Amino acid sequence: MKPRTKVNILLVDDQPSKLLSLETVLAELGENVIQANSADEALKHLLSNDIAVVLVDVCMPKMDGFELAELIRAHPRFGRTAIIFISAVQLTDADRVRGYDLGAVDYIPVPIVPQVLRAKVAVFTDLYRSTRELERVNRDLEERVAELDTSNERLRFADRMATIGTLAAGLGHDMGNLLLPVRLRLDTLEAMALPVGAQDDVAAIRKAAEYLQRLARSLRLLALDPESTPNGTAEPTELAQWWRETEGMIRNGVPRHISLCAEIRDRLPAMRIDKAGLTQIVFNLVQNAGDALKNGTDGRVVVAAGHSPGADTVWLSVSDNGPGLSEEAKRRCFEPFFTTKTREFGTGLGLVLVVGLLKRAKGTLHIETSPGNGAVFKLEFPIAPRAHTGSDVRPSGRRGVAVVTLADQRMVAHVRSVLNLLEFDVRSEAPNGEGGSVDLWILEGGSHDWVNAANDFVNARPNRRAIVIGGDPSVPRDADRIVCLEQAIKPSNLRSRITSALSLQPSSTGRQVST
Amino acid sequence: MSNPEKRPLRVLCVDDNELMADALRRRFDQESALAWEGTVTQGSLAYDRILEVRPDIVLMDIDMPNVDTFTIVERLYCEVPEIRVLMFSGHVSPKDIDRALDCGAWGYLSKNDDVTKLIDAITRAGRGELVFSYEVDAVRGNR
Repeated sequence: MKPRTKVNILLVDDQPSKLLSLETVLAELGENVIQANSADEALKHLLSNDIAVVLVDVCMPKMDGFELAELIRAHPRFGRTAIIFISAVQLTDADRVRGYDLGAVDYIPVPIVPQVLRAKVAVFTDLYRSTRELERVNRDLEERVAELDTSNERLRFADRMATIGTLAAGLGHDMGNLLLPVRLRLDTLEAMALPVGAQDDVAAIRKAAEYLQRLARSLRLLALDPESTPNGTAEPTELAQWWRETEGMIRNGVPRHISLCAEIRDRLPAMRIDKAGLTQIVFNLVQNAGDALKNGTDGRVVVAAGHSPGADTVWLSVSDNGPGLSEEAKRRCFEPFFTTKTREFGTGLGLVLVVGLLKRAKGTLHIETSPGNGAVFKLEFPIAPRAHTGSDVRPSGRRGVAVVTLADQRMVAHVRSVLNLLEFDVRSEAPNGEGGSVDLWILEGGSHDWVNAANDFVNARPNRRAIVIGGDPSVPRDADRIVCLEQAIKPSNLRSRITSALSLQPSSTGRQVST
Repeated sequence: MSNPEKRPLRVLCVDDNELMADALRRRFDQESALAWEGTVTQGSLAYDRILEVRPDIVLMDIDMPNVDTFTIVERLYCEVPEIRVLMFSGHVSPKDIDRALDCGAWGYLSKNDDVTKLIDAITRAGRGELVFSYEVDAVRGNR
């Protein structure tokens, strides 16, 4: 049980001795007792303290108890403060009625019976305490109701998004299935010698089909379940490098008369998001900025990025000096199908997609905008943990060189596909002699002499690795540099297994690094 | 699959959507490197028809009614590994991509990608490359 909080009792009497005797009687209640010698002093105390009950002597010079009660009641803060009159003279019924009219709650005649006084005052102090407690509970309840309203609103939104997601997935899929035949037929038509008018017709249908294709793609992306998409396994994205690779493509998102510049520092920590997702996010934001600026002059879009020392996130912003967003647009811009653009341009799904992709990457988005002052979309992404990408095998500054000598052509194709992603050039001739500039050899473990061949290869130069598919892992070898993978390795696991094998440190025998 | 005479790649399509198959056939007519070997619209007939035609490439729609296309691919890969199957779908999910790779497909193409990229991917699969269209690579986290 909570400890009882003390409340204040105000005693008002012009005679100090009476104040003292009242205080003595009430001390037993364990509350705070405040004394006032006059009505003026009582009012001062009332204004500076929360008073549970006021005990007022009816007969006081200057301002009597009735007048004081009238003043107290007139103040909105004390409209319900309990007032008890103490009177040494016999009051008439008319006096009592006057007192009640002025807001008195009780009369106590003198001589005072201590038990009676304490019992009466205790009723009001307890009532005061209970009222305060009720008010507190009420405030809590109101806060909880407000929280519940917010949660309900979120739930309704999530529910709506889930329904839209299911609908979007089906619609996007079916649209795509019908649009491919349309696009194929358009190709066929365009290859024919069509009359001029028909060429225009075909071009118009192509434009419409391309819009629908974009819409279908957005719809399908909208339905992607963030939990089932593989962003967690994505290579970390280094911003400056990503920008160099995608700048040209992203520039296409804004009309030519609008300037697009980047302020992205080199050597920012890598972010945990796949490049495709990041490109999609920034392209959407840049395109929106471009659309906002397309009717004005001196339009400028800035893509900037940075990292505060010690922070575990990297920020990236897309800002423009356009007309900014209205309060309504700012509030509603993440709703599916809400758009400020004409239908020719906007699907109303761009920002919904951005948010979906951000969720996958565990990023956040913050908008700063006001009408007439442009808009800043600021994103924050978690920093990626240090990745194992074979970089300790691949020499810095150039692509690595790998040789793949496997019999199964489909396995060769898989291995090649993985090695290309890890920035290796792939050859198929077995290394002879010292093996030249080859950094990695992926070979078959079936033949008897694989150990010798692999040993010779890795020993001829430092930082070389060999991966033996189907090699018996119990065969003695330099296990840090010659890794055996099982013959029946699943192609879907190949990428993580090869990446792990390349990331083994020479001092960590047999360690498998998960990526 | 060496192709010393530069003969066209023979492509058989398994898709229950005839609109799609017909449009592909018309488009393939423009490509001298590709030869259209017909369409199978019923999944239950796919395996036998593929063995009969023995194409270089099978373009296999994943969602065929009444059959598990991955099982057909697995069987084909075990029995006639020289036939390269490319999964072809409007739905791109990491689970389906992994399953396709593990059951022996030579690639996964999305029906939503550019037609020229699809044709390029089919040609590259004929040369022995594992092929994924842009959207598939994006889902795999490779781009």
